[in-house]
Amino acid sequence: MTMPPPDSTASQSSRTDALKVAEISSWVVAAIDDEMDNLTLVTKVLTFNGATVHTAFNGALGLELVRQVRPTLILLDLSMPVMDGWAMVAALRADPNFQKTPVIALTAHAMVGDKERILAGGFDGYISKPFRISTFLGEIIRCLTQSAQQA
Amino acid sequence: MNQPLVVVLLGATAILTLLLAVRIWGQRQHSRAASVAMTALMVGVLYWTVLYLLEISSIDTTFWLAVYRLKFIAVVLVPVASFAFSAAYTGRDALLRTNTLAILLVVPLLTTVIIWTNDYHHLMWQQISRTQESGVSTTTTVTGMWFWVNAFYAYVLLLGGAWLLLRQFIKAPAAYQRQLIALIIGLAAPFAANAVTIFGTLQFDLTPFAFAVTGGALTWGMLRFNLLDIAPIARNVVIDSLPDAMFVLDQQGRLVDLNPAGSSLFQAGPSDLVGKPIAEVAPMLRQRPELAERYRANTPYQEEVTFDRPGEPGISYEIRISPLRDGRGEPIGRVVLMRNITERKRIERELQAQNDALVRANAELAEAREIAEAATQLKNQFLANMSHELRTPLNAIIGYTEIQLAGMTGALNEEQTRYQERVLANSEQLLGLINDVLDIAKIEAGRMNLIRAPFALRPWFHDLYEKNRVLAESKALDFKLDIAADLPETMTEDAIRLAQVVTNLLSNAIKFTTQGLITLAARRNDAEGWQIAVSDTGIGIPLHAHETIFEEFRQIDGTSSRKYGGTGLGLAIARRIVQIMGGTITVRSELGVGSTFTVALPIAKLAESPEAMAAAASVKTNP
Repeated sequence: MTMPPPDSTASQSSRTDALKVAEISSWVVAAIDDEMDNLTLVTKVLTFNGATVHTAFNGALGLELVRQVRPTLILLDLSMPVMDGWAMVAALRADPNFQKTPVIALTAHAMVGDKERILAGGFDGYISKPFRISTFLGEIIRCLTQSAQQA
Repeated sequence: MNQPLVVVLLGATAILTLLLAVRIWGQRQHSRAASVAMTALMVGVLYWTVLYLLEISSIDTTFWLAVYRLKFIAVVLVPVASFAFSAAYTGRDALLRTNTLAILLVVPLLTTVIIWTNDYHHLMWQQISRTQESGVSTTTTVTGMWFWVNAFYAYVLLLGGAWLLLRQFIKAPAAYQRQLIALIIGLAAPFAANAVTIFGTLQFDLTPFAFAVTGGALTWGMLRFNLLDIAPIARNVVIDSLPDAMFVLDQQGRLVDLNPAGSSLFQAGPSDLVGKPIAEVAPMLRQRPELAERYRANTPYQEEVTFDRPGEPGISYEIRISPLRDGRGEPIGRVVLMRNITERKRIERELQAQNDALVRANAELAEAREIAEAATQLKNQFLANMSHELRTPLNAIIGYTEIQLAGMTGALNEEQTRYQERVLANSEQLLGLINDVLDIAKIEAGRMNLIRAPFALRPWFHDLYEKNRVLAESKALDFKLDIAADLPETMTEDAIRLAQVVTNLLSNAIKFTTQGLITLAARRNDAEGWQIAVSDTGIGIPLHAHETIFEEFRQIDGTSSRKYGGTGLGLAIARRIVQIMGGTITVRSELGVGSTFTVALPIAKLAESPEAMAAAASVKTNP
C-alpha cells in the first residue's frame, strides 16, 4: 500500500500541514454506520495504516461515542435507524465541542446532486460507496488538511 | 265697454304674459323646443298687447298708423308660435325643422310686406280710420282681400295645433289630460275672441284680452300640473317604441296607461286593459301574489323575477317600479317597467356553466398533475433507493477485494491475486452499469432536470483535464487542452451534467486509443453557440456505426464490449443530456485514424443577476 499523494491543489505553504495530517497513526476516527461490513472495511483500512478506530451503529450511539473518545475525524453514514447521519451532524454542529471536528459522509447516496446536498448539510467531506482505498484516504486527508488550515 | 277698463285689462295681460315668458324661459331645460315656442308665443302676445295699448292711446295719427302696422308683426307671428308649441309639446319634431318653420313663415312675411305697402294696393285694408272717445281710440278698417288670407292661415295653424293636442289628449293618461285641457283652453281663447272680433260687431279687438285667459290657463296648468315639467314630449316616440313593457298604475293598482310592449305582455289591447286592476290582467301576478303586495310601497323598487307563461317556461324580467307623485309630492301611482332579461339570463347561465366547466377542468388538470408529480416523485425515490441498495453490497465486494489485493489480510498467491483483480474489474463494470442504467431510467422518467447556473468555464475545463490526465498518462497518451480565447469566462449550463458528458467522451477516447494524442478543445461557433470537441487517434468508428453508437446498448459489435468493457450506455446518456441542454452531439471518424466527438451547445443566457454572479463565483471556488 502506497501513501496517496498529498492534495495536489493545496498550496505550497500548507504542504507541511498536509504531511503532518498524513501521519495516519495520529488519527482517532469514529466510524458510524449500520452496515457491519462497512465498519469492518473502514476499521481494517485505517487500523492497518496505524489509526485508532471506534465504531457505532447509529447516530445516537455515535453521539455517545464521540463524546467519549473525542475523535480527530468522524466518518458518518446517512441512512441509519434511530438517528440518521443528517440528525447526527446537526447535533454535532450544535455542540461547541464538535463544531470544528471534520465530519465526512460515507454513503451509498451517489445520485447527481447528492454530494452538493451533503456538503451543504454540515459535512466537510463526501465519500461515495463503493469507495476505493485511494479515494477514501485522499478525501480524509483533504478534509484534515482543510481543518488544520482553518484551525 | 268702459275704456279705462280696457286699458287696465291690457296692462294686466301684459304683466301676466311677461311673467309667464320669464318663468317658462327659465324652465327650458326640461323640454327645450316647447319652452322656446311657448316663450316666443308669450313674448309675441306681450308685444301685441303693448302695441295695442299704444294704438288705442295714441293721439298723433301718423304714430297711431305706424303702431297699428307694427302690431301686425305679432299678429302674424303669434299663430306660428302657437302651432310650433303644439308641435313641440306633442313631440312632432319633424314640424320644427328649419325648412318647415321657413315655410310656415312665408305667409306672415308676405302679410307684413303687404301691410307696409298697403297704400299702393289696399290688399290688407281698403280704408282705415279711427274714432276717439275719452282718450281711447278705436280703429276701424274696411278689410281687403289679403286680410282674409291671413286670417284663414292663422286659423289653419290654430286648428292644426289644436288637432295635435287633441290627438295627444285622447291617448294621454288622466294626469296629463287635465294639463292638456288647460293648454287647449289657453290656446283656443285668443282665437275665439278674434273670431268674435272679426265677425261680430264689437268696437274693440277682443283678442288681446283673450290672452289674459291664455296666460291664466297656462299659469294654472303650470302650477297645478307642472306643465312643461313633465310635458310628455316625444312620449309616443320613446315610450311606444320601448321594447320594455311599461305601464302606469294608480294608487289603487289599476292600469292607467301602458305602452304597446306592455299590451303584448298582457296579451290584450290597451282598451281592454286600462282601468282594470293589475292583479286581474297580469297572469304572472296570479302565480306570485306576494309580488303585487310588494309593489304597493311608494318607494323605488327593483328585482329580477322569473315567470312561466303558456308555452314559455322560465321567462325572466327585471322589474323596476318608480312611484309617481303630483306637484305637491303626494303619491298618485306607480310606473312599472318590465324588461325581458330571459336571453341575458340564459347567456349568464351559459357563461357560468362554461366557467364552472373550466374550473372543473382546471381542478382535474391540477389533480392529474399532482398524481403525475407524485408518480414521478415515487419513481425518483425508487431510483434513489435502488441506487443506494445496489451500491451497499458492491461496497462490501469492492472493499473486501481491495483490502485483500492491498495485502492487508496477508499475502495472496499469483492466482488469488489474478482472480481478485477480476472480481474488482467486474465489480467496477457492474458499478458503471448501475450508474448508467439509473441515469437512463432518470432520463426516461423525465427526472433529468438540468440545474443551469453560471459557472467559470476555464477552471471547469482544467478540472476535467486534471481528472482524466492520470488515465491518459497511464496509457502513455499525449493529452492536450485547447480553450479558444473567444469563449466567455462564464457560461450558463448544468456544469455537473456537462462534465458527465465530456468525461464519458474522454474516457471513450482514452479507452479506444493505444497511442497518439487525445485533445479536449472548446471554441465559440457563433453568437448563439459554442462547442466542445474530444478528438483521439484511436481505432476509429466504421461509417455504418456513426449513428447507432448513440443508441442504448449499442457498441460497434459484440466483441468490442468484451474487449473494451463499458455498458454501451455512455454515449446514449451523453446524447440525451446534450439534447436536454438543447444541443447536438456528432461524430467524425475514420477507421484506424481516429475519432472526433463534437458537442454543440447554445450559449444559454441568464440574467446577469447578483445571484447568478454569486453562483458563478461559488462554482469557481468550490469545484
